[in-house]
Amino acid sequence: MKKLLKITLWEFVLQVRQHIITVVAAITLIYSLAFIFFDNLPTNFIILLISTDPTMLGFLFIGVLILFEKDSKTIEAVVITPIKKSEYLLAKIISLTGIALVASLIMAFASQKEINFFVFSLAVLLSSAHFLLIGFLGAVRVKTINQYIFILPFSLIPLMLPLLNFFEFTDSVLLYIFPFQACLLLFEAAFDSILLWQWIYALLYLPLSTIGLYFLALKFYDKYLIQN
Amino acid sequence: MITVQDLIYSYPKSENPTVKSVSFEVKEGEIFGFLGPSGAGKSTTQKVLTKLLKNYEGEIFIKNKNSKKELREWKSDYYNQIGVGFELPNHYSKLSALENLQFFASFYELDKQNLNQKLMQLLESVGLAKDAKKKVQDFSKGMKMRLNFVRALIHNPPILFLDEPTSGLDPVNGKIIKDIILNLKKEGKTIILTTHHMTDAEQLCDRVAFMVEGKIPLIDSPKNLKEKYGQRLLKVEYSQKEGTNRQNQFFELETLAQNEEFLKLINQNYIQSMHTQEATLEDIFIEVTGKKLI
Repeated sequence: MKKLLKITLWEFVLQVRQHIITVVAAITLIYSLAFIFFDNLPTNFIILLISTDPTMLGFLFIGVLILFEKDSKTIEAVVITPIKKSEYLLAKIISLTGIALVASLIMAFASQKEINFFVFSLAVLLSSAHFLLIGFLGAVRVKTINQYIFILPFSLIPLMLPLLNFFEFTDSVLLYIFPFQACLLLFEAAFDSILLWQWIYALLYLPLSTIGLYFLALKFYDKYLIQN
Repeated sequence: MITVQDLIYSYPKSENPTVKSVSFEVKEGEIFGFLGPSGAGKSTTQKVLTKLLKNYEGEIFIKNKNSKKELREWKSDYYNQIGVGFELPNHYSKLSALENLQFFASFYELDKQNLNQKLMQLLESVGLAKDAKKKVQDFSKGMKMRLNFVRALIHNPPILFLDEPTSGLDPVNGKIIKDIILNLKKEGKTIILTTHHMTDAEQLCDRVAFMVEGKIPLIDSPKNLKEKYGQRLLKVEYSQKEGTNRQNQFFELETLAQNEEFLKLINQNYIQSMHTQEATLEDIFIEVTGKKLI
């Protein structure tokens, strides 16, 4: 646990040096100013903007971090240390989720809406962990940042299909297969109310699918980071 | 310390194995060198030993633990026992040299007291103390290689795997690294060195394994090899007077003291040089394997 904390703190240092925190700060500032300036924005639009921070940006940032480590071959040096693959992965998830939580909370305050901050924080934490793991699974399989950016829209667009339900273009239960539906429901619950079955669905499906992704990520760590 | 029996390793999607049934033993406290050209299977063998590559055939025993069974249970503690110096620099370029060492030190259960002082001593030992706070992205290749080397020593491991430790270094820094390696041997460390520099192998290794095309045709000490494959002759280069034409003559070492022609030559001529005709490791490598050390 102590080691995990130390490694997580170093992850923060690396993210500062790689300007990831600068990018997050800039995006947070722009969104927050927009929310303050346009104080009558629809809630759905605010949820959409805020939810992209822990999801799409997390997906992008973990990819950049992993591919930077692959490119500079620092990953080779890391895997021959006593660090456990779970510690390596969790340090990245905790640090990036921590950054996403702070940024999302600032944006939420700036939105001036009535928000249940406990549910909001839960939505950010679960969504961030989920999409960071998806990003990890994608990043370990490609070689360069350009390749990763190329696959980014192809990976994210299908995952984001529940936005069709969210903006009421569709009302399909089939889209509940995508865990992003659960993310959106939790964000919605922070601003408004959702049905009981939606609560049960979101609070079971999102954590369980994230745990599944976590174990898959540990397998991918062996297969693509160590063996390759 | 390390015993390898009939090791075979094939990379996924490769038809032929890269390492073809090699067997060797590394004794505790010795420097064991893998000498061979690029692509011979040296680094692959090292990667199998450092558990970076799995799915191999054969048996590996490290500190009497069998790699397939007990080593799996040994897991991350195995990495407390070994230090690895990579062939190419691999650092976090946005961190300083000291931060890189601190970052990797955080992976080990090290005594926090005086840790920074110990890390600074490591940097000092390879002449990087004054650059400790400089970002690694501003380092030359040689500086990065020296940092690679000391990173393997952070946790004071009993076993060291060093891949081309003098690669990219000038002669002065190369000598510093070689002296440290010899001191580590004196401290009782077991060192597995991979190199294609015959002089490094000759100066450092107690025994060398010639490796070519995934096989090890020969293992012996550099001294034994040079005696076995060298000619026991003395080459004398001389001239009648200083500055006049040079001539060479060879004499058998065994009969040198009684050889009147030799005694007459050294008494009556200006001697430019005298050299015993030992074979170099490179000569022996070519003779044994038919390949050059490139």
